[in-house]
Amino acid sequence: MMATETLNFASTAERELCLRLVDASANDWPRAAAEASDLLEQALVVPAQHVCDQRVIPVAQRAAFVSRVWNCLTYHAPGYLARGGRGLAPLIAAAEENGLIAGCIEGSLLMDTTLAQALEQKHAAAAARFQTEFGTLLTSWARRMRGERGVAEVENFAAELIVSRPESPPRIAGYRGQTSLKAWLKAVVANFLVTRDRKRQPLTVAELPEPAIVSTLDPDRNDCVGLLTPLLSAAVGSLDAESVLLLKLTLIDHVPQTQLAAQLGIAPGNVTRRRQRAIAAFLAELGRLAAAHAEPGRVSHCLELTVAGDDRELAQMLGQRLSEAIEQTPKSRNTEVTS
Amino acid sequence: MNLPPTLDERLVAAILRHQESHQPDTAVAHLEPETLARFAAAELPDGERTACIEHLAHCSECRETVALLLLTAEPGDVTRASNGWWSIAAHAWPVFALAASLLVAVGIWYRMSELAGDAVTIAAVESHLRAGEFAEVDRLIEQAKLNGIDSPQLTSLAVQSARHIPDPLALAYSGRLSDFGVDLGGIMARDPQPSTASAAARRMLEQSAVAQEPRELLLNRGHWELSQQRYVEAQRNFEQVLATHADDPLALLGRGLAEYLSENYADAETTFARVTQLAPENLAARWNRAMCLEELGRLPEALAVWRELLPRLKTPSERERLEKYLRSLGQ
Repeated sequence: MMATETLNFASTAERELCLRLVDASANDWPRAAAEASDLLEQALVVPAQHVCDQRVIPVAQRAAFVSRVWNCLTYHAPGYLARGGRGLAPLIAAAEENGLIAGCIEGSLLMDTTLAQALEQKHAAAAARFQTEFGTLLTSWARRMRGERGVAEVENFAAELIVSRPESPPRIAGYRGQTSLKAWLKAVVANFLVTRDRKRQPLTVAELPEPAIVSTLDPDRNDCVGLLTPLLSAAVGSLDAESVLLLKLTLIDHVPQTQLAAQLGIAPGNVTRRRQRAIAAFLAELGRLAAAHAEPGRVSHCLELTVAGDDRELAQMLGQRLSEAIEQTPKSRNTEVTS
Repeated sequence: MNLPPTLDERLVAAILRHQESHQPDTAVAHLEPETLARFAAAELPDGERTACIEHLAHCSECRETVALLLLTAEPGDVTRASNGWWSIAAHAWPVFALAASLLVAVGIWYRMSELAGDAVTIAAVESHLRAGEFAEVDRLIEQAKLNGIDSPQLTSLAVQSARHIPDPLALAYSGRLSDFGVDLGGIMARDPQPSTASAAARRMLEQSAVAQEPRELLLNRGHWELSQQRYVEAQRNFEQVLATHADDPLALLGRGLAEYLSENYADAETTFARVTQLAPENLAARWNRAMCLEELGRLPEALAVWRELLPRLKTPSERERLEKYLRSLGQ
């Protein structure tokens, strides 16, 4: 096979990885580079045929396809080598047959990467294939994430993926083959919908519910925000990052503990236990910080005003918790956190 | 299922919301969607995962994206796999090597008999499998097929070899919850099963579907489905065995595992208790039952099972591990 050397090895690390995969010495670099290029080009024939409806990728585009697949493989190669894998050809074979990650279209990471590249290069057949593979899924994800509004937002998502954005490449360029195209796409849709929500125009005054208007204009409440911000940050900061994330995902985002358990790698029952421990630690630290503050009474008032709001049950409990903490804290420590 | 929030949870939720709305995100850049997807699917290696958690704890935009992914997760989206038998097999390699060298002495018998017929071939393959000689197992099976000898039993053994399980029955070798990632205290391990082995096993199992599947193949397929977190499919295989052998301890063990991993702890506990009744020597069932009882909040009963199990454990390291765990529970 004639060596085409379409690969452009970006760094010494990539070059070394290529040598290891091809099992060649540094002196044998030309052979290693040529062999790697050849293997990748051969591997691309079938996916390109499927995705672009053509057997041979145009010469002008070949390097970009090969490079994209190579980048994908270099990400997975260290793990593959660590598991005792040897040789570039078996690594490519693993990428072809769902041996690296699950959930790829037709079970092939190579197919996913090729489709992404073909989309980036705006192959019409690739766009049609994308629509066939993901059109229904996109709608279904968007509906589950944001209802009918979500569906409307992703109506022409294929175009959203391939159109260049100001000062940044098209979204599809961000797919690097570290996971399946499907998993990546779902994350892009979720992120797209979240970003859209956050960028939404703020409500006009007329649209605001009445209590919110009062709270915004309440000087006492604004002072309280200034007083509480460092104190709450310190309380949150006392927890490890995993506990903070666990609390936020469960209490703010209402992620069911089954999903969280799987993600965090703990049993569902343990999510509850860990959350309970984090809540207890957080409230204890908050109580300690409030009690150690120069104005514990003011902290208590502010917490009740801004956090509990109109929820009398919550305010009562907060007051009770803070009083207990203040009673248990020696007076000499009442200067620890001030605003 | 999430229970209604307690007052403490409502309080902390209100505080965190307040803190988040009054403090801008400190993150200077957001994580790539690919990283978020891999985090949500538990695919990130430990180092990247830790960095990701640090970011997510303080970046509400990225966290909301992850929350959406988790909220809309489908079965199989999360790569939660066990660190069971493949690492055991790797660590136990010197033992297998020793066994293999002993087998050399009687190897001639196997060489002579390997092509003599299905039963003999299966016996030879099983011996090599038990010795952890997976390459030899593969060679024998390939040779047998070339000679027209093939059967679902051979496929079942080939699957075991592909998965590097040195036993004709996966459940007899790795039937504890820890083999499916759930360790003592409910902690999940996260070393993924080598996916190439998985892919090879899948291919063989898909090709093997025949009308009357033997018990061994059904049990091994069920075990493999469990390792792929396909609990419904796994249970279907175990139920098929139980339809004809209602008191099969290994099929019941598999059913119990599927029930536990589907979070049906009460049924799982009953099933594991039944296995212990039928096969008192099955330590995996006792181990799993104790974990069910813990999940059900029946700690005194769990402790009783652990105490019963402790002197029966075969290796000092296992006993030490359990003793350490029991000490952590204040026992």
